[in-house]
Amino acid sequence: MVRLILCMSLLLFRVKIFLLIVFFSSTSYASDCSKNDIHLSKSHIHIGDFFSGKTIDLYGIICTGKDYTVITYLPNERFMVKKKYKNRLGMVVSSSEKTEIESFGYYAREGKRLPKDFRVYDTDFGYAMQKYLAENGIGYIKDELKLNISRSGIIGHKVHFPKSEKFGTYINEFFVFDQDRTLISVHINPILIHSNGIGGTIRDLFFKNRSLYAFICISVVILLSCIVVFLMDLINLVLKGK
Amino acid sequence: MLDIYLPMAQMSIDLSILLGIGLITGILSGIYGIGGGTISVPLTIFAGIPVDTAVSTSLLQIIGTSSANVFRNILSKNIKYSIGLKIALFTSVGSVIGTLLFNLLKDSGAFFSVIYSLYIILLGGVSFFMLWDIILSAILGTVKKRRTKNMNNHFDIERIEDRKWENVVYKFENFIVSKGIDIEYAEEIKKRSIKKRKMNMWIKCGTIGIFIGLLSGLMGIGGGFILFPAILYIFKESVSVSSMTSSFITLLTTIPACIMQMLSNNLIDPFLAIICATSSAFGVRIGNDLAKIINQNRLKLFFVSFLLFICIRFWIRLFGSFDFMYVVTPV
Repeated sequence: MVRLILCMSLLLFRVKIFLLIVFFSSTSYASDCSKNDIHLSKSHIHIGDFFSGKTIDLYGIICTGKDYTVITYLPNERFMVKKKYKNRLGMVVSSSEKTEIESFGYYAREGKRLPKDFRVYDTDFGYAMQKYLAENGIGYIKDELKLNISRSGIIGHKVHFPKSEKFGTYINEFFVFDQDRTLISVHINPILIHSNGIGGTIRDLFFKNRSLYAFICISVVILLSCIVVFLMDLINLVLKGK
Repeated sequence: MLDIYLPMAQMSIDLSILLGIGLITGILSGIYGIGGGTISVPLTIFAGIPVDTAVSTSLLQIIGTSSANVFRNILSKNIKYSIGLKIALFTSVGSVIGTLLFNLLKDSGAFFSVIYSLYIILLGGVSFFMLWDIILSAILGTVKKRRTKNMNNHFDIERIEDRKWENVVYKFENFIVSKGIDIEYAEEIKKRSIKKRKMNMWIKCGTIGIFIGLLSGLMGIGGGFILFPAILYIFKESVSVSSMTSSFITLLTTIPACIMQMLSNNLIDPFLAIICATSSAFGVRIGNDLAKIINQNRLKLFFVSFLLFICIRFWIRLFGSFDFMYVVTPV
């Protein structure tokens, strides 16, 4: 009887372990992870009258056990970039274990991005993405660096918006691929860029009433120039008077 | 320093760069008497502002600088309204056509090539003629001085500013009468020549006006550097009259072009125009004082080298190839 109980308990224990192992194994953990565990963060950038660029943090969670490729996007179309290194993409690792991944960068305006069913079978994903983006008039960033991320835990992702930034809605996307290069999930981070201050008011006025905008601009420029010239004449007179 | 955000250009730029551009434009305008558009548009392009924004916004900037000049001299006799209004009629039409061409080019994709090419031709031509003038004056300068000295001793020199076409006609009439030709016939000749000269005047005004208007609408320049010598040599006016009349015509040219640009595009940035226009107003005074101090030939040489520098940079932009602009690095 005791032996039976012992055997039963051992069996139960093994089943429990087995269940625990199954539950926490990479396969099942990965499948739960790929569905729900990347956090969507929404970000706002306010551009006022004085703007020197802004770096924002976007976070996600990556799961263990498989070779995931995380794709993020950086800016492109109609971008005024004065020098290299203006747009920067980075990965901040918060955990100790590290795995090498490839990272590709671009972000695109609403309506222009890679489709969710974009798949690559035999060719290199980076090259295929670049080709697709170029064909569809979406810019891309070429990045051949291999960055380190942890096998599990939070990944923080910094995107730097440079000074030459346009208003509107941008999308930062995490594309998660498995080792067969099949796209498992897409996670979207909207980034909203607003304008405020006098500049924002001027832009709003332009789009609402162009004739009034034209009248105000021309009047202000004429008035200010006349005031400056009048002041210079006054200063000249005062200096000559001395 | 302080990065000011240009709402219509949708980019930030250092405030000191904008002030510097305005100041340099003003100084060069004060020294050489040329319009700001020829200098300010290339400088704003090199500062990183998009080409279409730079070209469009310079029209608003020119309105500011030329209006100040005109309002100071509105009651003086330095503005010839008869010539000014005639030319301005054609320049307004030309600037509207130029703005339409600008919009067409922008949509076609050939915009940058055309603008760069026009600036290379324009600035290259001006610098070539100035260089030729410098070389000639360097070689012949001493010879001219001796000749004028002799002429002063032996002849009555008629100054070009005093020679108006009516005086020429009256002198012709007197010449005919002195030769014994019937006065009625001389009157007939005089009437025909007056009529022909009036027609010629309209043709001259039309040709100059349409050409300058086209350049103004397309390239964002005022056309002062063409108007000034045109009024001086073709219409035989004095230097001060030519200068003020060309400012008056520039103002009337750029206003319709600017309004058309604002109604059709969202390219004209008021912050950029206001900052550059106000700093160039200061620069003009500095330029006027510098022109009195610095040697004339050195000024000409400096200006020619500055124009050639702009031409070369535009040339490189037009025909050069660029590295891939974006580089991603880990944070």
